[in-house]
Amino acid sequence: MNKLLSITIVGLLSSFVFAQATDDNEIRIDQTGDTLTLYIDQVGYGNKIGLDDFSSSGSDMTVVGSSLTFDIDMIGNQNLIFGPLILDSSSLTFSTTGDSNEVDWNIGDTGSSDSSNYAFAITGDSNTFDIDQGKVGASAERLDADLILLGGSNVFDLDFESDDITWNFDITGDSNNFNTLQNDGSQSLTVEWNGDSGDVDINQISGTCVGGAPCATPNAVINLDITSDNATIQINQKDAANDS
Amino acid sequence: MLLYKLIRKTQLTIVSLILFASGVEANSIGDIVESTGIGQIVRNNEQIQLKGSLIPVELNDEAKTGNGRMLIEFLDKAQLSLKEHSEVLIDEIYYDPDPSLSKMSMKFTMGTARFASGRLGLINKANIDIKTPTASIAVRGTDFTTTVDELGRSLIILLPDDNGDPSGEIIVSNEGGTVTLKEAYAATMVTSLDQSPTQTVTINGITPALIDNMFIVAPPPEVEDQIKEEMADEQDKDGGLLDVDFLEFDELEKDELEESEPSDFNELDIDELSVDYLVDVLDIIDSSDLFDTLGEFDLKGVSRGFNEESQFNVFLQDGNLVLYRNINGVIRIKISAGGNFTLDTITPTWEGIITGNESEDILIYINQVN
Repeated sequence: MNKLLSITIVGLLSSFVFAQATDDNEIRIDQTGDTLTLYIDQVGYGNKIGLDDFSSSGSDMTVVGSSLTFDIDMIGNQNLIFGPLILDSSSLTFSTTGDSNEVDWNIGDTGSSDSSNYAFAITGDSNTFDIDQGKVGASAERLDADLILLGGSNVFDLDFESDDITWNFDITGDSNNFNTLQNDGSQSLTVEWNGDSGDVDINQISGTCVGGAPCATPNAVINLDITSDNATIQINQKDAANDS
Repeated sequence: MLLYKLIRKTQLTIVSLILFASGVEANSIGDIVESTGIGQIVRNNEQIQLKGSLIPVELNDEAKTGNGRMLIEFLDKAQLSLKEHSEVLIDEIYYDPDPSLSKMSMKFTMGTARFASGRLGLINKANIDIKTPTASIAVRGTDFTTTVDELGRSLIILLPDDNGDPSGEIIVSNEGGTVTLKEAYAATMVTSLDQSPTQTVTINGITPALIDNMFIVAPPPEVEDQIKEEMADEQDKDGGLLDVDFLEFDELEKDELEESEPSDFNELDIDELSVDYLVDVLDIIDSSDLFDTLGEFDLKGVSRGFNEESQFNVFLQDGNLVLYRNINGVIRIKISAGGNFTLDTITPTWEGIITGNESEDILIYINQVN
């Protein structure tokens, strides 16, 4: 199978490591510094983005900085991408076209991840996404995330410990499993769901707003449009710190 | 693929042969094959008087007749004939080996002209665009005439084929609307750009030879009758004082309060201040017996409008059902038209089950804890 790998890297400060293995297309990223602009286009089967050689299980790549711009396109099946990313005021565009891809991203795992803007476009089936943002003690504010999913049997687990979040999700496909957590003040979630046999869990847990200021009313908004023959949807809006 | 290439090559050859065999210049798009009386071609602001001569025609030529007639045959054998005192601008004609890329565009600006699409199939009919000052004509394998007066009013008539059957279809449209002519001698009159073409009428007792500028002076009776009928309808629709039947006035008999149906409830009617944060759960009556039909939804546990117990606002939006609640957080759920659902809600102020069409196809749990 022909494989195509093209990367454009602009405006790198500090350090950045890139390597390609011989068996699969593998991009290893270990980066620290600001104003990185990273474009990755991966086409093919079994591509990987992370830190190590993935001989057993993948290790998280390291990306630390602010004002970063990521634009990653993956076309193909069984691709893997691992976090964590620690990034402030950054823009992340991620699109995959293919099946059985895995994304395990932990954004702001050990540092702040404020003022981020994410755009995910997923086309394919049986993809798994585990994306976490923010952690207790690390600031994660003003997030704007958009997701367009076209495909079936995808599993999304999105946990965002962040305040002042705006999510817009557009899901089309059957048998998708969607689990979201918005944990902190001033949350907004808009979901347009088209598809049968879906399983949706939406959790909003209130908290403090940006800078610890009182949150404006309403503190939490869920806007859900459903077109489905059957779906199970669980919505939790809580002041307590336990989600479903 | 090979067959496609062969066909394409053959088409190229045909076009080339046509061009060479006819002996026309490279930029010629056809020939004047008949010319009687006074006629001229306006080319690059130069008037070429025909005086019976037959010359090639080129792109952007304007064909005009005085007291005479003219017949132009294009490379694809399409024919354009002009009767007396007529004008046609040949706006754009392009022949490509691929007919879908070929194009023909002409403007019939004055008088009576007849157009018969080409037999060689060098241009897809969809790419033939004929315009008059007030209408646009789309062609589907067709022979038709247009008669245009000084004001741009256009009479369009679909002609029969050699067997007397309709020669195809033409679609006449403008900013006011669209009419399709399907029958032999079906006609429509277009009086202005923003007024719809008249409904189709069939003209009886004519032949193509009888269609000329006399129709400007005296349109066919069928067309005149149709115009009068539509003008009368238009006048009736204007709601003028003379159209009011005061005997039918019964507005005072209406009870506006009684007729104020909750079904009128929409998103703008949501009163955010009407929510009650202190509902006593013990006072909540069992609402499972409530039943309401709203659009394609048979609702139980909730009714249209604002529901004081559950604090849900319920209304239709484009046929979809919206359930909106704003207490300690906004939850807005829209179920597509006809969706079957069960909404199980637990909040500090209300617990209950709402169903649409008594089904659990879509099962929604809301757990709101403060």
